[in-house]
Amino acid sequence: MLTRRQLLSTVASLPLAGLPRCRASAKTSARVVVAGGGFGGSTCAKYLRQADPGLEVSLVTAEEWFISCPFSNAALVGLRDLASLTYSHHALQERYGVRLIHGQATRLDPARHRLWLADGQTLAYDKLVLSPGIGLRWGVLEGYDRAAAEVFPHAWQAGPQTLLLRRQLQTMPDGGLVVISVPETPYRCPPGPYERASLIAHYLTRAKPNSKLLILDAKDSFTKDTLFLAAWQRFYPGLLEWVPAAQGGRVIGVDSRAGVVRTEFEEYKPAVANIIAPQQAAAIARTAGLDRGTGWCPIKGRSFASTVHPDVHIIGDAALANPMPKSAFSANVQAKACALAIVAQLRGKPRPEPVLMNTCYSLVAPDYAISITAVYRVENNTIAPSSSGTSPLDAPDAIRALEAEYARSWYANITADTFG
Amino acid sequence: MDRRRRHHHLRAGRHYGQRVTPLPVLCLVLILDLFLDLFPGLPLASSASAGPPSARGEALAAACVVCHGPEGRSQGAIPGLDGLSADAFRQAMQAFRTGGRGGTVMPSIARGLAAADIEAVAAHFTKS
Repeated sequence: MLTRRQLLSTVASLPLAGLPRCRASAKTSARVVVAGGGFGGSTCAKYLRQADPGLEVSLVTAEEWFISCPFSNAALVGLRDLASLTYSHHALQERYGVRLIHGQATRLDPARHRLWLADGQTLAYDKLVLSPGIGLRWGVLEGYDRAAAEVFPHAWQAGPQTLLLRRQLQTMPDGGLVVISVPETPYRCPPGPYERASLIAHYLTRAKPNSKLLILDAKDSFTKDTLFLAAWQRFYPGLLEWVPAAQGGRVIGVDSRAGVVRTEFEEYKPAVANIIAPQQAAAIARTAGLDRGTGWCPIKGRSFASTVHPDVHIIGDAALANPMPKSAFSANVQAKACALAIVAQLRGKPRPEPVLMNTCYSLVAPDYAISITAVYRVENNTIAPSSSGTSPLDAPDAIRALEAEYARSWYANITADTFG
Repeated sequence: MDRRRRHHHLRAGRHYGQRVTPLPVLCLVLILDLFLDLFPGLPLASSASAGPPSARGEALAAACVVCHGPEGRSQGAIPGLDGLSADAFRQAMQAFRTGGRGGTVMPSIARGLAAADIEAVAAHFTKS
């Protein structure tokens, strides 16, 4: 490839006539609407404005505040409070000139480049970025609907559901049964259910040691499973039990009135049931055929442009970006790749090679964490891992304690990068 | 060659490449040089070690800051990257890549990056 110096000397050696004229304007005026105020949308809006201050960037958020799912498992058991996981978008407006719009995006017309909000507002865009997160697939587990979620919380969108599950754990009797139902992949935050189980087990061990925690899983393996299983054996023996699908772990339905959770072979009457239900892209990302009827939105790995409508980009949990997991980290780096691709495209430049990576820390106990990390490359718009790794199985406790500190430090840094 | 020296070289009307460069072309080269600074994203290979900040370096650094903090200034236990010399950064990353230095997530990350990427990030955090 040509180096900068080679290019300059080549130009210097060219005859004067026929040289292209270079304009030194770094600004483009175009309207970009970003829908979704989580890790993906907030990062994308900020980095769009940083990459090109000429862009008119609007960020549409359903709520005035964003409550993060990362560290909400710690909030469940009193290691943090929800206020410490709550972020405003105002810095994006004040520091970066992002226009904030509160509203729920409900409808999309890709041909006319229009987005409708629930209050009737219509937003015109040149480029639209959707980062709406997940929706729950009500009814896939028989009897699990919105009303049932008020009895058996999913707590997979942080906020009132987190507080409900927390109250239930606080008020359940010592000696009660807690079940956590885990769906098949793909779902938001692959190690999240197992971190949650760990921290609930930690709480029960101290506050209600005669209790029992069952993970009822629709899968037979999961991310970092060897590490989790070894740590559970050490910290929570007899209290926490993982039931894989092959041993009847798959939950098929609930009866929230009778307080029953059903698998193919068993009926449980738990004191607390956390039903992490099957998921799909949030509703707005399933309009206009963006999900091709599959529940998740296929994208081009180089730009995160929809493969269905090229001026609509989808990032974060709603995107079909495997092998990247649906994580805050993934959403943040996808947002940056998407922002750079949009700016390049609006300027008529080639899209830069995206930088995609992910690290997920999981707390197995408050001062004991494990991690998984990967770097990805994009070939022909397909994402593939370049390298990956997990914490070693035989690491000393000092390393696990260090990773727990790193998890907290990561959280402070990603939220500063995203919302600050 | 650092930028100041190179510009001095050009201003003096000396050889650039193999030929004596006429003044109008020299002006265009200077404009292009400035243009490359404004648009560091042009697909050029990174040049000398700890060379000029590049778009690739900036894009890579944007992934680093997820853990290491905005502008490499970390809150908490994860080490910051601001103030690291390019040499120290390069040596650490090479050691992570080859297994000469242990770590938690960094060995996996370093193995996934090309040598040119490590140079580009080194230049970014040195200049920023």
